[in-house]
Amino acid sequence: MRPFLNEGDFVFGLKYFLTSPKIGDVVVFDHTLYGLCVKKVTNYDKALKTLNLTGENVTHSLSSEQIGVVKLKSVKCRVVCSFKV
Amino acid sequence: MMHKILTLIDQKILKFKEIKAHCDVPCGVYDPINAQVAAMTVARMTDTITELEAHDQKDHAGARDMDYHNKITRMIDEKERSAELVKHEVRIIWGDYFKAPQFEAHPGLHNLTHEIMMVASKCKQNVDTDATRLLMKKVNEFSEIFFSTKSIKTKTVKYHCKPNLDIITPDL
Repeated sequence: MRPFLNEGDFVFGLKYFLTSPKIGDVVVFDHTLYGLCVKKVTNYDKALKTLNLTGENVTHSLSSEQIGVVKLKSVKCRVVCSFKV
Repeated sequence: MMHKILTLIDQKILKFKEIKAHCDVPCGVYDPINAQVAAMTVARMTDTITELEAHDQKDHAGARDMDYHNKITRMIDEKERSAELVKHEVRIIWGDYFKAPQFEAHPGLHNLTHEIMMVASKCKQNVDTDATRLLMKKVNEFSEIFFSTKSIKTKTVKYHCKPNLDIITPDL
């Protein structure tokens, strides 16, 4: 997620409450294969309650296809601030 | 300042959950061995090119037939590919693994990385045995620093393939 986030950074987030994910939101989610991850929202399907996510670092990140479609209930929170190393 | 406070809280009071940003290679998997093997290959290919040239001169009066051209082309191609691989692997560790604290602890690291880039290029551009040995030496220095940042002791052994140069390995 460079350059937005680097190894060792702290992030704080808020759960979605009465709001929906927006494109560009950075979210923490629980992936069945990769565990607890942080990525950026590229699409949110309100009807299906699913998200498409991607990393900031296009060259080295897992692609949207590799991450797959993520269910809204897997999203733990939206990142509201970070404290950098 | 805030990061230091949070680190203290993380270590002493609360244990914050760790999240991963994930890259193509699983986070945290870095190893200089690929660069070292590639540097060894550069050395070996340079030696075999020199040997082939000497053999051709001695046994074939410098005939340079089709067999010679086939062999030399393949060796040069492998030398080129391996030297580029050295540069790629070292760049990845320098750019993705090493962070500010490691650069502070090893102030010569940027210079060493740049030296590796230059010597690898020299190995590509020339048939230079000394340059290939220097490349191996520099990549070994880089590896030693890498392992020291992980507090892993290293040892020097003779590589099991020709030209059997010294290679730094973790003493696990």
